[in-house]
Formats: sequence, structure tokens, C-alpha cells
Amino acid sequence: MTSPPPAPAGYSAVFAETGFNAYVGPIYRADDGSHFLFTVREVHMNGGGALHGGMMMALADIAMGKTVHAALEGGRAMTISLSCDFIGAVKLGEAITSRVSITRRTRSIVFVTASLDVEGRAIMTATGLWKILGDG
Amino acid sequence: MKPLAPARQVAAPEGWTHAAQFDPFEAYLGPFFERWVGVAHEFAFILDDRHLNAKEVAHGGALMTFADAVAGYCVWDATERAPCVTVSQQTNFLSAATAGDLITCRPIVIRKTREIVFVRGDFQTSERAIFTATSIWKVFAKG
Repeated sequence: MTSPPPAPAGYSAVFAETGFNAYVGPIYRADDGSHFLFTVREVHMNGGGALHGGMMMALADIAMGKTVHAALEGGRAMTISLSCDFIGAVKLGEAITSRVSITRRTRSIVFVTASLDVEGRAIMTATGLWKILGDG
Repeated sequence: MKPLAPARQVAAPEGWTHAAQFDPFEAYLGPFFERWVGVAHEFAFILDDRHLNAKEVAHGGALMTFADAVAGYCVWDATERAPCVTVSQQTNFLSAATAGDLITCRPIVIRKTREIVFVRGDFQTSERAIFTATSIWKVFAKG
């Protein structure tokens, strides 16, 4: 696997040396934690000339999961449910901003929402549940 | 439309054939497989290193993409390949799967209106349920 291009100023690549995240990435996280950034390449497209919905859902899942793990400070969690609404299409080369917020965190579940946009144009909203994995 | 070659050559399991792929992102994660069981159209894919997360289990993004693809084939079957887009997808992740697992699905149309199709798919290995997805599709008149 070739190394990803250097992160834009103010961003760091979401850690991924192997697997799906490395294969579809890079995805960048703003150093202040406020959002994630992803630019659409040819491999991410559908046959209709727009970003594939699967990649859009994957992007929401990754941004939400990274945000949950940051909030857990070393704890682990896994996605148990994700609902995604497709609001708008994204073209090749466009950069998607993903903003995530944690709605509520209980002992075992984290409730998360995300909104994705391209320069202020809404493209997806997502809500999801992450199960916090126990100590034993 | 001319089908795309999958990014990796993977032999079809016995009884399955390669499903034609038309979306670059699906070919990037593919191949996907299909078979007919009577009137039921079933789909499958085999997890490999491209589909895993850091814990080496299936990444939700790969599973959701497969679900979207399967639902798309299902909507095509129900609409004589009318142009269509996903409006919403809900996915519940039931248990982990890992490299080498064959994940199969027999998607069904729950309801079809003039403009909207509701689809459901349960995805499993030979041993257990892995995830389930429902989706809502907008269908456009054929141009």
C-alpha cells in the first residue's frame, strides 16, 4: 500500500495502516477535533457519476466511531446500529466535511449523530448507536 | 452499460457466479456473487483484508456498501432496471464476521409504490446472523 498524501495543514490522517480505512482513505481529522475531511476519488464513485452511498455511509461510520473512541479515552465500542439519510449527491473531487456530536452516553450505549456537507451543502445526516465494550 | 472488473480476482464459491458490477466503488470492494434459488435472487461476498477494521473483523462501511449494492440489485429486479437512488438505509450490526467468511443475503421488496421501494435484507454466514439492513429507494421514470 502506498503512503497517503501528507495531511492538509491543521489536520492529521485518521490512523489506518491496514484494512478498510487504509484501502478507502485517507480520511483526515481536524486537529481541534471539530470535524473530519474526505476527498472523493474515482474509486469511490457509483455508475451514475456521483459518490457511492456505501462510501458515504462508511465515512459517517468512521467519523462517528473515531469521535466515540476519543470520548471513551481508551475504552472500546462498536457500532450496533446506523441510520443514514441521503440528502444530496457528491461529485468527483469534492471534499466532504463530517461533523459529529454525541447526544447521550450511558454506561453501555453512546448515542451519536453526524452531518456531512460539501461547503455547506448538506449531503447526509446519520444517527447511530455504539455499544461500549465491557472490561471483561 | 459495460460491467467493471473487480479490483481483486476471487473465485466464485460453488453454485454462485460473479454478479455484474457497474459502480466503481463496488468493483473496488468486489467481486460480489449471485445465484437464483427458484425465483429468489441471492447475493454473496467473501470478506478479505480490504473489508476489515483494526480489530480484523468486518468494517461496518464494507458491510453497508454490500447491503446497498444488494438492495440496488433487488430494486432493479423489481423495476426492470429503472434508474434509482438510495434515500435512506438503516443497518443493525448483530455479530462480527472476519476474513474468509462468506456472507449471503436474499433481499426482499417489502413494498413498492410508484416512486418509492422499501427493501429489506438479512445477511448471514452459514453459522450466524451478521447484520440486517432496510432501505428506502427513490425510483425515477426511465429516461
